[in-house]
Amino acid sequence: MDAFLQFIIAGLKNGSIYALVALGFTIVYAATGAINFAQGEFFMLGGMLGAFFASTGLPLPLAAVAAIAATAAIGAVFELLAVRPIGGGDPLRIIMVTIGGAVVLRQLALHFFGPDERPLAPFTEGLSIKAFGAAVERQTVWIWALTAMTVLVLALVYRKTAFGRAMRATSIRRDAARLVGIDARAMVTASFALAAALGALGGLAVAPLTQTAFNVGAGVGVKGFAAAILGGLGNPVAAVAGGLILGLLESLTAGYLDPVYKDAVALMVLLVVLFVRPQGLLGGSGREKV
Amino acid sequence: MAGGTVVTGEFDPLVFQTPWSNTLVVPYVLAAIKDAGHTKIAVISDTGGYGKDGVVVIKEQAPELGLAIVADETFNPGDSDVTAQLTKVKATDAQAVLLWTAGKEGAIALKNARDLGVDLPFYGGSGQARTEFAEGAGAAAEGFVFGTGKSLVPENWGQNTEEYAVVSDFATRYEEAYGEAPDIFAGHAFDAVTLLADALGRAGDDPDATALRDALEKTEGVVGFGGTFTFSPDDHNGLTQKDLALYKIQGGKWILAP
Repeated sequence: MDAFLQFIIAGLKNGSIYALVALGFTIVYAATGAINFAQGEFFMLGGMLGAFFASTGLPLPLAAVAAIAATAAIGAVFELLAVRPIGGGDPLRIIMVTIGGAVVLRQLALHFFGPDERPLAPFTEGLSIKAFGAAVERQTVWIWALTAMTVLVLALVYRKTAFGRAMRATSIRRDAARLVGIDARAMVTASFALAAALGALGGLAVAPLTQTAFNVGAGVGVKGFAAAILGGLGNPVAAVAGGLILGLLESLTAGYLDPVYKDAVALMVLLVVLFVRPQGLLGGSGREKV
Repeated sequence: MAGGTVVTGEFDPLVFQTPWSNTLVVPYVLAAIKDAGHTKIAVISDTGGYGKDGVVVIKEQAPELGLAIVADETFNPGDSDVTAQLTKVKATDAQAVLLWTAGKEGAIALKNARDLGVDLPFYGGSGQARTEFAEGAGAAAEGFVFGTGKSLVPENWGQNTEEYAVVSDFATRYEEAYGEAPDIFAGHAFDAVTLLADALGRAGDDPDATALRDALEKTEGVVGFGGTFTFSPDDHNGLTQKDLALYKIQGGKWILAP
């Protein structure tokens, strides 16, 4: 059935974006035990900065890279200024600070970029690809490719590089990691920067389809968070799985029930998971981390 | 400054409205759809105030013009994708699509429609009278027709009219003060202040709310950005279809639709 395939495609498209945002949540959770509620704003900054750099005349690939780098830097600075000073690294205090940080970032974006939405050119121009009776926008193919590549690169970094192993060590046992000479505080900063970069990539990839504005962060942040919880916090594979499943659930609900309920799906999923299986679909009871 | 009908229909009698209300623009656009020879339309709207209000008026007025609504889809403000709704529209025998929304989802709807291969003509209202809409939808907006005030392109009034003088003077002063051309919302705010000033002049010294309202209701023929305002106890919007025009997006620009 054409419509069913179309809904699946839309679900996987949005799901990939949620996966990227959920990865950001998972990475910071693994490093600090806290939820970074500014993750949605990193998504917003990726798109907004990309639109801004593109409007100054930079070619799109450069603007995209600059936007990701800038957002990663903002993420690192945010951690240094707002999170690191919290004595003892108490997760609850970190959560509260990130909520406040999210508001600040959103208002700064409003102040600097104004309230109107901004367009971003698609990465490749052209009509959508027709296959099996459904249409796939070229940008959607980009989103899938970028998400898949990101997940692969992350997996490689975590397994094969010293930096990746250091991050894993820090999240498993912080004091033991410090004993073997890993700078745990730098790992936390790095995790924020990495999460920001992932969120920014999601924001950039979807901006050509939806335009971006200063207030797109909150909605996506909640959905990415729900996706991370659905999969199971702390596990990158689970984050991606959670993102894709949530995207599909949303799309099928909009297609077969009523589009009005689309946004409610993420929240319902969140509640159900927290009540029934808080460790998420793929979360074990152990603390198998990043 | 809101365009919904309920603003003046259901709210406090002290409320007045300067934009072109949905009760004005909806029948105007529906008439254009009918003149183009279509009889079956699909309606896509957002669930926000403007969209919900517009759909009520559309459902009232369409049958009176002989137009059948074969699909009635909605999306939420903030949605990034309208593919599900458009897929359902594609499955009906609609001959034209009426889009009623004020947010950036409008551009998304047009782009989704083009990608899905929904080949139908699209119509809309004042919510699409923004440069961000044409920019955001890009090539997908080609041929889009919408109804809104004549003042969107001031030259529509004709160079020698009082309306043209008022609108272009406003645009010049706005651009001098703020460095960019005004959008329709700036115009609506300008009208609000103009009408208030006019009413205050007639309301005597230190009027209270009721006296001011009575003075406003006696407003007759005040020319502003929206057009010529004449209020009355039953009409707190004051504009007529003479203040509207039909536009088409061609090459990213607004031209008068024939």
